[in-house]
Amino acid sequence: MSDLFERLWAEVRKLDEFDWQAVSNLGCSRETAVRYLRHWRDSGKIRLSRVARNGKRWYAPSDRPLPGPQPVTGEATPEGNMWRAMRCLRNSFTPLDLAAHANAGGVEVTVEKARAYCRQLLASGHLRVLEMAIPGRREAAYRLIEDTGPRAPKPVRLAGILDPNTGEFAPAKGGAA
Amino acid sequence: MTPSIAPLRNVAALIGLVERVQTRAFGLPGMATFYGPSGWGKTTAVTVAANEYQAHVVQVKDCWTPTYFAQAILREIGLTPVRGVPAMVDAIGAQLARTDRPLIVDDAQYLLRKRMIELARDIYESSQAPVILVGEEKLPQDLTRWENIHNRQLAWEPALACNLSDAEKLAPIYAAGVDVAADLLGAIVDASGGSIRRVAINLARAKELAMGRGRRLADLELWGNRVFDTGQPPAVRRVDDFRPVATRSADTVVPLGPGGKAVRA
Repeated sequence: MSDLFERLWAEVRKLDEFDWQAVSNLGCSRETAVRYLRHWRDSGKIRLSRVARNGKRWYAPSDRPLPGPQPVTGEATPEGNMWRAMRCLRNSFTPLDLAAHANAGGVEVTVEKARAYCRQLLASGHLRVLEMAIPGRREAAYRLIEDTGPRAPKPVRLAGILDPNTGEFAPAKGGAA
Repeated sequence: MTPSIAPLRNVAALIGLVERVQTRAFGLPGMATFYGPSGWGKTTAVTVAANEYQAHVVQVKDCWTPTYFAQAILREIGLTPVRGVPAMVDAIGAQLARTDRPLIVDDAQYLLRKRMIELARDIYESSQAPVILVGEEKLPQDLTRWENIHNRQLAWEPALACNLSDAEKLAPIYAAGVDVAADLLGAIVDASGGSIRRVAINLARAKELAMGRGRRLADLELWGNRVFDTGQPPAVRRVDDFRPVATRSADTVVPLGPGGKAVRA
């Protein structure tokens, strides 16, 4: 193989994720970058890590862990159990149903916690109200309308800067507070 | 208040089944089947068992194909999609083997079509992780057609109908703050046809009724002639019952004379 091939591979294997443009920017033409990517992929040195919405293919060295979402963890959390109960009982459930089904695996879920979680997911558009609550007499009934996947949506508080002039929100470095 | 339906017979049966498969001795098969008629609380049991063991749950639909089934499991486990069913089965098998978390397949009777049941066996073979099939009453009989799958079943556990003891455990949850009398509880169990869901709905209605009347005790007298949620369709109404009955008075009847002709006055 040429010196260029060896040099590019030495550079590319240090990257977490790359596309043909990133390879090309290291000092070769588009055609060469695409040809080298195909060669590395066929020889098992790199693998397809994701396909972007515009169809662009991103690759990663095969010895690196996959970027993006990792397999669902086996850790039991109140939100995880409630989310799983919602996905199983998706057509109609009350906070009482959620609490009754989610109290398992060493996790404690009170009816109040289930009510609060339902209200948060209602606000985020995951749930729809089927039947209104009558305080003291009847619980509200909900339906899951946005089943986004196995990981439970959870409330977070974001720290950052909101510019009221433009309405833009810039999250502070470090993410959630 | 932290309500739990884990002590219900059905839920305990499925949790016990998952426990048996997960702690099976070396060399024993790792698949099992939980079966019962529709509406007996199998999905309720699946939900609690999945939360107890952090299991992956896939609910199969009638229209699924083998590719879609593999994709659904991949999604449920949280893996990035790979191309081709063999590669998907390998990825699923590797991840399940790594975590040893059970895979529960609800509505597994739909797997018997389009050779999807073979895919479930492949996943079990490549992972050796517990695979629990949950399906309708005939599922064990239907599985005998695939000897290689039938042989891999460690146990067959029937779902149990909701009875009075289950209803007594549900009453403090769904009718909290109200005492449900034995006569009403018995009537609810009889009307609910073994369904946990319907017992819970009827208990919640009894609570709502008692709270609305300001009473602490809900009994059959309070319930009156209200209809229980039985899951049965409403009875067919006869149109004739709603038609006004035309009364024919004697003077409208015209007597016939000889020869079959009406006699005019």
